Amino acid sequence: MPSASSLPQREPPRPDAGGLAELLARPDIWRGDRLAASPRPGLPTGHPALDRLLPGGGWPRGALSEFLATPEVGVTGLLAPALAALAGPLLFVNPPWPLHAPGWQAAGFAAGRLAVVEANGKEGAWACEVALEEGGFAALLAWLPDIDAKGLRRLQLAAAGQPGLACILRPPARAREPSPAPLRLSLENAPRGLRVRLLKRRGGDGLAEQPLILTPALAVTALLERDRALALPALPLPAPGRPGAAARTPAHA
Amino acid sequence: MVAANGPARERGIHPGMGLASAWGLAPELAVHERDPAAESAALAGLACWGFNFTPQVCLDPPAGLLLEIGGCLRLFGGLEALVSQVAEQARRQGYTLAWGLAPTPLAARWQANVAPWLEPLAEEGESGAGQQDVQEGKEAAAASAIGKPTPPATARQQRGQPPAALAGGASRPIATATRSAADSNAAAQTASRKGVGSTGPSLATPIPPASPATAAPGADALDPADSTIPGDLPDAGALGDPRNLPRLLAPLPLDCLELPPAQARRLGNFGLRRVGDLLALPRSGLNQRLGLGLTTQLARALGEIPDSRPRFPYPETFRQGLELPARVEDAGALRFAARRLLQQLQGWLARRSGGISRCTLELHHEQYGPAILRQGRRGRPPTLLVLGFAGLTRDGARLERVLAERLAQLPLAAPVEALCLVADQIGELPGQDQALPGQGSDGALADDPPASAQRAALTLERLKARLGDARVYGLTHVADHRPEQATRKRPLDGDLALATPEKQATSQSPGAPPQGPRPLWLLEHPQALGETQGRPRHGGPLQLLAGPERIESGWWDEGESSDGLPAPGDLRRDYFVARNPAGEWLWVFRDETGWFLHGRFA
Repeated sequence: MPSASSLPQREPPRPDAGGLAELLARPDIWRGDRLAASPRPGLPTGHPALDRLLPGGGWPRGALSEFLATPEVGVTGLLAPALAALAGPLLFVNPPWPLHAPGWQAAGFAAGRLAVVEANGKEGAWACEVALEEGGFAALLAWLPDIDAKGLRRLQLAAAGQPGLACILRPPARAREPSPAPLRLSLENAPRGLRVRLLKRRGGDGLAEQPLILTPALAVTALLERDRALALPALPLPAPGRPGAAARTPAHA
Repeated sequence: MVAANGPARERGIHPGMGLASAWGLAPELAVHERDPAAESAALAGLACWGFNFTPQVCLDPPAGLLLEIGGCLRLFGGLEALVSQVAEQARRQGYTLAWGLAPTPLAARWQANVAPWLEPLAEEGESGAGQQDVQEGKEAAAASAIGKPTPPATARQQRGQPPAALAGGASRPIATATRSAADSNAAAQTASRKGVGSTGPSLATPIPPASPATAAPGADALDPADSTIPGDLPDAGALGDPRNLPRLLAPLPLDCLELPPAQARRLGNFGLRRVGDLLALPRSGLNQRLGLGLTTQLARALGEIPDSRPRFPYPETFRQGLELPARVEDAGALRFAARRLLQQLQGWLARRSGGISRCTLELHHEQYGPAILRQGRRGRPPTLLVLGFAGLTRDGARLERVLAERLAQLPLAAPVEALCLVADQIGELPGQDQALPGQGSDGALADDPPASAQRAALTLERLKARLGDARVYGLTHVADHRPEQATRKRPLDGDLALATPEKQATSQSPGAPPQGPRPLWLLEHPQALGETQGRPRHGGPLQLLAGPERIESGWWDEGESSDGLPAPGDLRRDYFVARNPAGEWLWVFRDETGWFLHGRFA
């Protein structure tokens, strides 16, 4: 009818397919069979298989990511690609070992970007809270074995709204404790890489999926790949003799 | 007696009275000796604070401050905003403000003299501002906490000092608060902290009245504000124009002129009550009867003749003291008192377009004389609290934050009686150091590297204030082939993360040979590894993936120490990249004594 079409009438929303799709595309509507869309895109992890499992397609920003692993497990190997994509300064709170500047430099992190805070326990948690509140760091990596759920809650509140990454590393025994961190992963070393198991994420089930085995992206692996490409022979075991003058006292003693 | 508070006056004590008769009337009277040196020191401190608002500050002793605000109205967003800011900050400084606005300094002062809340006390003589007043204020607050509710007009300005009374009062004790708890209501009224700021839109050099065009700067600035000025502010349009001054001054009572008592009596005998009455009289007649002094004053106030006043001499160094009302034993409580000094420091820095990277807060313990700026100290030396900042700043919030962290960590050796703030490291900091830019937008990480680096510097500044320099540090890569020596801690002084790619390139020494793989983590001490059949073990036999890389020599620092650790000295090692069965990437070496684990790659 021409008259009806010429008159702009407010039509009720028709429940046709297009409208439904539009409705479902709203960010505040979540369907139980899908991964929740994060309000802000995550930071790609550099491991596509892991990205597919994470809401927002990467490490969440403005929220805690909790890693449950022993210090010997190479968390930095998992985080390195994402960290390398950042431009700002990195803050390490209570790292298990001293940082080796040449290693970080080789991985693309100038020594000038790294700041270290040696504080554990309550002071460490306080330092993290300050760093998250004030912002300014592209990423925070904190080894906080003693922090409890209450402390994590404070950190989560402080992290909310900040653009940076906030990674808290705790021992695997803490996996059984409740945690307010929206993303929790447990990491283990595996002979062929890193075994990553999702313990908690925002939205979406499927946590029972097979753990991922990821190859840590380390500068050293790239170096080894290069050597392999050059077809260097496999390294023979060094001769049992000692290099250098035998009479010397060990320098490290 | 120079001044008396409400309860004291109720008992019949009035300025000009001798101390003995005052004690006769009120035996419990608390008497405070007047301290002119402390008063002028406090006024100088306030003048520094005044630099927060305008670069042109004049002292108007004993208790007045003249701020030229005609030139900075736009900066502060109009007259109303400026006046409310000045009043609010004066309150934080611990002073109650009686202000007046006029195109000439004298007229502004007259107005301040009769600011409405002054009237009940307008006839009282008064003591100057100063340390003592702060003290009274605190005492009163304590008293009112125990006692009855305070009268509504607690913050009452005392003002109006006949010069004669002042001159005589300087050596005399003044009565202020009665300390008895029973009289707490009374004491609360003494809470009136003194200190007068009179603000005038005009400069010390007045506007020549003959040329209204030159008077315009003040008026121009005021005009846009005209409509926004609320009723309680004087008419702003009239304010900037000296021609309106007679109308502005006419309703003021003659008391505000601070005339000598004889002259004031005489004028009273003439039947004059208001300034307007005086202005209506012919000047020549006044000259004949009262002398040139009064008419000169009138002419100055009206801007007919110049009223040049020396500007507050800008102090080259900053050292301001503050006496505390009571001995303070909790370091956290010092924060509020120290904040006043920080505000003064801020004004002082703003005036010189400077910033500060370090300042010292001296905590003077008891057993010192009352005037902390004077010589002759004895007893326990003051505790020095050094506040360090990442880079130059004069941002008040930042100063306070670092102060709060430092104070929270400070064990007080003894109760503190006075504070003194000294500016140590000052530098040029042009432009406004206002709030930092807001946080980056959602999508972008570190979208604005300088801004985020600046915020990071602030964070580290706060961390360092609490944890100390030794536990918050940055790293630097040193061109040394020995792994132990290649990383060095570096103090963070605000340039973290400002290392742009260009800087990174230059930070590597040009002639350095290409390196083998280097681990991210280096163990503090190499960890000895066991061997099975000549093969190192660490959680199982290690698989050597790359190497050996020979690292040797270093005889030059044998036996020396750096960073508190003994230097590695001469060494001879073959490094390998290894993996253990668990999948850990390790950096191991072999020297003449065996296998060692030295680093981790992840």
